[in-house]
Amino acid sequence: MENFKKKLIRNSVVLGTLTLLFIAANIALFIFATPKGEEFVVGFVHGVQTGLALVLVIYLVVRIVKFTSAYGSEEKLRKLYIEQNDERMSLIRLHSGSFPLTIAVCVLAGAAVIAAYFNTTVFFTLLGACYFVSLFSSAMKFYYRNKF
Amino acid sequence: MKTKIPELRKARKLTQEELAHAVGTTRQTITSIEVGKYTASLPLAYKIARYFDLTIEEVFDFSDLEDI
Repeated sequence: MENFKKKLIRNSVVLGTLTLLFIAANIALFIFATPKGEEFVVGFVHGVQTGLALVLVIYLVVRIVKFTSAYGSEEKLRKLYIEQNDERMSLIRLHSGSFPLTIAVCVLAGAAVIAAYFNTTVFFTLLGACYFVSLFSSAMKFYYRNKF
Repeated sequence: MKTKIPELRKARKLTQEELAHAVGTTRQTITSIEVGKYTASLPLAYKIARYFDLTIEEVFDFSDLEDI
């Protein structure tokens, strides 16, 4: 359990740093760069960026709060440990390809945001691909949750 | 794989949540094991059997295993 506590602290610090870096990068993009295209496209791209940033920041903050609150209580720590190391959930994650698909979604989303500043067609294509990979990932998780 | 876990649990007036907490797993895993959707790993099977003071063979039914 001591190793798990150290892992929680390390993860909280990493998540906190990532959150701050992400917010800074987003603000910098808004101020210093303008996507190419018509006013509607520029607005759409900014909307997508804001939405992605908001979701990611909220997710990271919730994880940080969950980790730090668990650190103070042995019972919560045990519950979190069980949740993260449950063998059935590990099997579901393995079969559904959860980790690689999540990486794929993040890479596609990041590439879409960057592509918006060069070519809007590429931006919409990558956004569509990101959306369908997310749907597929969710479908796989749902299927294996019911199977096991 | 069939198991005697539901009967053993009811005999001791245990909920799935309490058993899951005692053996270090989640309630959903215990549910899946009881309905035969999920086969417990050896360490988890051992923990469950030890919790009930029984052997693995007394908790889990291996009669459906195919002979190769």
